[in-house]
Amino acid sequence: MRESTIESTRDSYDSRTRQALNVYLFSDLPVADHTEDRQAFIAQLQPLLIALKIELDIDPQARRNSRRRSLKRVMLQLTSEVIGETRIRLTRAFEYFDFVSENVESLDDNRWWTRAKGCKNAGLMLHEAALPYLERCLDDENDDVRIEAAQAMLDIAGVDIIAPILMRLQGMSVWMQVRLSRSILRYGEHAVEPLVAALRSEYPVIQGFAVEMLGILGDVKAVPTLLEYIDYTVPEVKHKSLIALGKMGDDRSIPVIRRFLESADERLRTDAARSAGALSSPSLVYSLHWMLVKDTMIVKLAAGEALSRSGEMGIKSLRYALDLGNEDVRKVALQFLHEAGVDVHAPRAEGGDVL
Amino acid sequence: MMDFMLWFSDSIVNTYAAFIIGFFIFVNVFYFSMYTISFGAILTYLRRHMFCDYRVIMQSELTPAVSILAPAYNEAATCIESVNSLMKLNYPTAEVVFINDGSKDDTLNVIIREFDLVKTERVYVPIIATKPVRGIYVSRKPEYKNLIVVDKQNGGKADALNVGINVSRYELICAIDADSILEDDALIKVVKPFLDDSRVVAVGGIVRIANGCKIERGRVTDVRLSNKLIPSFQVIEYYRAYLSGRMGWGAINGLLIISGAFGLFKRDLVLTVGGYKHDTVGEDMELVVRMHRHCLENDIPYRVEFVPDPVCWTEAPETLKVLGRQRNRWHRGLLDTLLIHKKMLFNKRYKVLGMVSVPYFVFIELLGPVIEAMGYIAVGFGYYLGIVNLEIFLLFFIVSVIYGVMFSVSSVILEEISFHRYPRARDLVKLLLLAVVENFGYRQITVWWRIKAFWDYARGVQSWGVMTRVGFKK
Repeated sequence: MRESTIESTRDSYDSRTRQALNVYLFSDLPVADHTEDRQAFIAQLQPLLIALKIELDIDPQARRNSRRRSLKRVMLQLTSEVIGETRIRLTRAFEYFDFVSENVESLDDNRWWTRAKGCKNAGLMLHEAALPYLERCLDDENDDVRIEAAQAMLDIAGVDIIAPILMRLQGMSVWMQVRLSRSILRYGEHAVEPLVAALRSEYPVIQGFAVEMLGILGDVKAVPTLLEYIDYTVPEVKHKSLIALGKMGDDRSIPVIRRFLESADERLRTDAARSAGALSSPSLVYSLHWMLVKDTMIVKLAAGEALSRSGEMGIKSLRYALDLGNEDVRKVALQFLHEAGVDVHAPRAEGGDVL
Repeated sequence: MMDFMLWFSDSIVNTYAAFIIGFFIFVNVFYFSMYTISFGAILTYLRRHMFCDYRVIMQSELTPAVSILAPAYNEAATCIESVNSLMKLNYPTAEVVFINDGSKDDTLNVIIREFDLVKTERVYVPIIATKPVRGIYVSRKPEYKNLIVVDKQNGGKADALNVGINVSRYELICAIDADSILEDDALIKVVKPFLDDSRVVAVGGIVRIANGCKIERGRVTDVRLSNKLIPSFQVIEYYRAYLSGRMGWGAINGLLIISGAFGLFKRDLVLTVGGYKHDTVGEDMELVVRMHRHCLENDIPYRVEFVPDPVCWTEAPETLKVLGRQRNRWHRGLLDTLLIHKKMLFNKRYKVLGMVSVPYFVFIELLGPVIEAMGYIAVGFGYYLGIVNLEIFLLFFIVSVIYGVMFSVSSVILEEISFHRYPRARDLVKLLLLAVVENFGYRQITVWWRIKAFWDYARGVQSWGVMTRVGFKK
C-alpha cells in the first residue's frame, strides 16, 4: 500500500514535470539549425530554461526537492527517446540545472553503485565537462564503475576516444569487452584506426580485444598491420589474430596462414586451419590436405572442415583422402563430404581425384 | 549398584543432551553466518543487476557459445517438449545436444520423427571414455540446425553427459535434466559470471519447484504454490539450500554442489579432470569437488559461483515414497563424494574447501541427521524417564526447532525481498506457515531417510531408485 502511494505521487510529479519540459524541448526557435551556429543555438535556449525553472519553482519549498528529483528522472528517461537538436537542448538543461556538477560529485562516493550510477548518468547527460572525472574512474577498483565510465566516455566523445580509453585500461573483463564492443562496432570503419592504435597497448587482453573488434569489423585496411603484428605477440592474441584474418578474407593473409598451418602449437594450427576455411582459398588445399592426413584428430577435423569450404579442389582432396587406407582420415573426410552434400558413391571424374 | 546404574545413565544422557544442544547451537550459528553472507551476496547481485542489460549479451559476438547437454532415458512422453523448450532459449550461439542413453521406450524414434532427423557421418572423438555411440543425428529442418541428437548404449546419466561433452563444440557446457524447464533468459544470466571474471570455471543456477505452477508450451507462465503439502515443504527446503546456502558458499568460493538440473561449466576444465564419474550416484557434486581439487592442487586461480536469478523449474516428488528415494540417493551421493575426497578434510592445502566446506558437509550435512536423531531419542526418552530435566528439554526444543523455524522463515523473507517469485499474498502466508509446520514431522522424516542412506550405502546400493513423475500440467 505504502509503495503504491509513493509510486502514484512520483507519477504525478513526473507527469507535471514532463509537461513543463515539453515546452522547453519542443518550442520553435529562431535559429533552428544547431549545426550552422551552435553558440547562437545554445544562447537562445536561455529564456526557455529560465521559464522552465520558474515553472518548477512555483511549488512550495518543501516540495522543491521532489520536483528537482522528478526533473532529473524525467530528463534521464528522455535521453533514450530524443535525438538531434532536442538532445542538445536536453544536454544544455542538465548543465543549467546543475545536474552535471552534482553528478560529478557522486563519482567520489565511497559506494561503488553510486559511482557506477554517476558514470552512467554522465554518459546519458552527454556533457564533455564530465570527461576528466570519468577518465579517473577508469582506474576504479570496481569493474562496473570502470565499465560505466568507459561507456560514458564513448557516448560523450565518440570514436576519437576509443584509442585513449583502450591505452589507459590495464585490463578488461569479457563483460567490459561485450559492453564496449557494442558502441565501438557502431562506428564501423571509423573505428579501425583507433583499434589499430590500441594494438600498441602493453596488455595482451587489450590487444586481443582490439584484434577481435578488427576481425568483426572485417575491414581489410587492418590486414597489413595484423600481419606485421602477429609474430610479435602472445599466443592468445596470435589465436585471435588468426581468426580475425580469416574473417577479413583477404588473400594477403595466405602466406602467414600457411606458415601457421605448420606451427608447433596444436591450437595455432587448428586456428590457422579454421582461418584457411574462412578464406576458402585453393592455394591452401595442399597444406590442409597434409594436416588431414598427418595431424592430430582435433586438427584433422579443422582441416577437414576447411577443405570442405575450399571449393572443388578441397572436395577433391577429401575424396582422395577416403582411399588412403587410414580409418580416422576416412571418417573425417566422410563427415565433411557428407556435410558438404557430396554423394561419395557417385562416379568420380575421369582420371580420378588426383591432387 | 542400582544407584550407580541410575547415576551412570543419568550422566550419559545429560552429557549427550549437552553435546546435542552444543551441536545445534554451533549449527545454528554457522547457518546464521552463512545466511548473513548470502544476504550480502544477494544484495550485491541485485545492485550489479542494475548495471546489466542482458540484451547486450544477447546481441554480442563476444558472448561465449554454449553447448546444452540434455541426457534422456525413457523420455518419449516429454522429449519433444523438452527439446522445443531448449531450442527457444534466448542465447546468441548455442547448440542442444540431446543424448538418448539407450532408452528402452520410443524416445529415439519420437525425436527422429518430430525433428526430421537424419543420421550423419559425424566423427565421434571419445576424449572421455564412454559406452559406444550408435549414431549422431542432425535435423534436415534449418530451424533445428543447432540440434544434435546422439544415440548411445545405456550407461547412466554420467556416461550420457560425458558423451555430450565429447560431442559438444563450444567452450561452455550447460548440463541440464531433460525434464526440467529453463526460463528464457536463464542461460544469459548464468553465463554472466563467466563474462565478469575469467577465473570462473563453473556456475550453478537456482532450481525452483514447478509443482502447482501453470505451464504452457514448455514455459512457466504463472507461478503458484502447489496445493499439496509435500512439494510445498520442498519449496522451503530449496529456498534454504539455494538462497541461504549456496549463495553464501559461492560468495566464499566454497561451493561444493552445482545441481545436475542446471549448471554451466568450462568444457576445457571438465575434459582435463576426466568428465563425470559414472560409478557414483552423486556425479554432479563429485565433478564440482574434483574441479576444485584440480585447480587447488595445480595452483590454478579459479572460482565456482552461484547465481540466484536464472531459474530452472523442476518437478518435485509428490509422495513421501518417491521423495524418500530421492533424498536417500542424494545422501548416498554426498557420502560417496566425501569418501572419495576425504583427503580434503581439514587439509590446509585446500583452503576454504578443506577447512570450511568439506568439514561442514561431513559434520553437519552428512552426520547431522544421525546426531539429530540420537538427540531426539536421548532427550525425548530421557525426559520421559525423568533423567533429563525440564530446562534441558526446553533448551533442546528451542535450539532444534525454534532456530529451525527462524532459519526457514528468514529464507522465505529473503526470497520475498529479493526475487518475489510467488506474487500471491496467499502463497506467501502459506509459505511462512509451512516454514513453521515443517519442523514438526516432515523434518524428522527427512532425517530418517538420510540415516537409512548410510545403511543402503553399506549394502552397496547404487541405484537411483525409480523417480515417478506426475508430469508438468499443461
